[in-house]
Amino acid sequence: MEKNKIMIIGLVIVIMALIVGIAIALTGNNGSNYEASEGMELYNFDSAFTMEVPKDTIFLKTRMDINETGLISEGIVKDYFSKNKEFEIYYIDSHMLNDERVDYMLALDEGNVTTEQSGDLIIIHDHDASGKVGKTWDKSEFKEEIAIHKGTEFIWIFGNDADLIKSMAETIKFRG
Amino acid sequence: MNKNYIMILILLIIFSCSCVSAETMVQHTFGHDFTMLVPEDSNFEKVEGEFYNDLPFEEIDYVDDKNNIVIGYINDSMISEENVDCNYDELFKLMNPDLKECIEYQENNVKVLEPKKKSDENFAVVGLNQNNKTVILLGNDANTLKDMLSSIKFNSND
Repeated sequence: MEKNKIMIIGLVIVIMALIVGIAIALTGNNGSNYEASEGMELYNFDSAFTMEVPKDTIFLKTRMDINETGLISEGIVKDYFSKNKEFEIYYIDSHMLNDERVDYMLALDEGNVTTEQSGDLIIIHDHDASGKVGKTWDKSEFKEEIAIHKGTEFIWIFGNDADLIKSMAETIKFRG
Repeated sequence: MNKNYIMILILLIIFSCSCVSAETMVQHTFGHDFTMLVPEDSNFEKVEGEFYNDLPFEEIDYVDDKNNIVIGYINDSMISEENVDCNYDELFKLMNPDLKECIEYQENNVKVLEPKKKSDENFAVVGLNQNNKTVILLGNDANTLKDMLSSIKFNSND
């Protein structure tokens, strides 16, 4: 019963917090009216952003205290890893983000790497990566990367299918 | 031949499991707001308390102590498809403060966040927002919660 009380209080507190303090600006796609591409569906990433992903994607979501490079010590850092669809989405929302720090993170890939720009998207090909997909994000080594930075937010998509992750990245809508 | 027997046995087991699962759920009406399948042995009671009077929105909660399931219902246009998902994430974090990982996916318009490791100490969060009506379920067994929420029918007069 004690746990149930906590659950009820949790429900009330979280929902009240949303309404009173952290109501999200209602911009971007409305899920119910949105028509996703064939084989894709619109996915809402914790109300931070939306993006099309392959249907029936199952994510292993990891909440991180700090970003692995050590550059971002405040803010939200999450990783959405999909083993079944073979891609990973890394998300940062931090006031510490700036162009310099993003450039530094993207430059961490060593070896035979080529980079190109397509609109707001930064496309990276890691020619040395094996393309291995492990059980978790940190046991995977993807060949293709796409990054986008807007204000305090940064999304970094990894995969082996360049066309797929590009088609996903092109549908990103930030909420903030 | 042996393989055929094994396949038939597996099919029988799967069929019998699905029958048991279906039999354990019954239709339940929650006030004037919605109906939903619930575990047969559940006993949902509406949570009463003065603090509900002070909320800036209408929230009705139901609790089933036997199966450790809590249902929250909010009918308020402030919570929409666009902003509801951060609720699920915050609730999961609140209920499982020690967990850094969760399995997350959506089935139609139902969002599921379940602990990677199942335990009586860990809680799944399953939610749905439809026409500004939000229903959030908390409990130990994500599959039960998912079956419940997938069966929801809102009262059209609401």
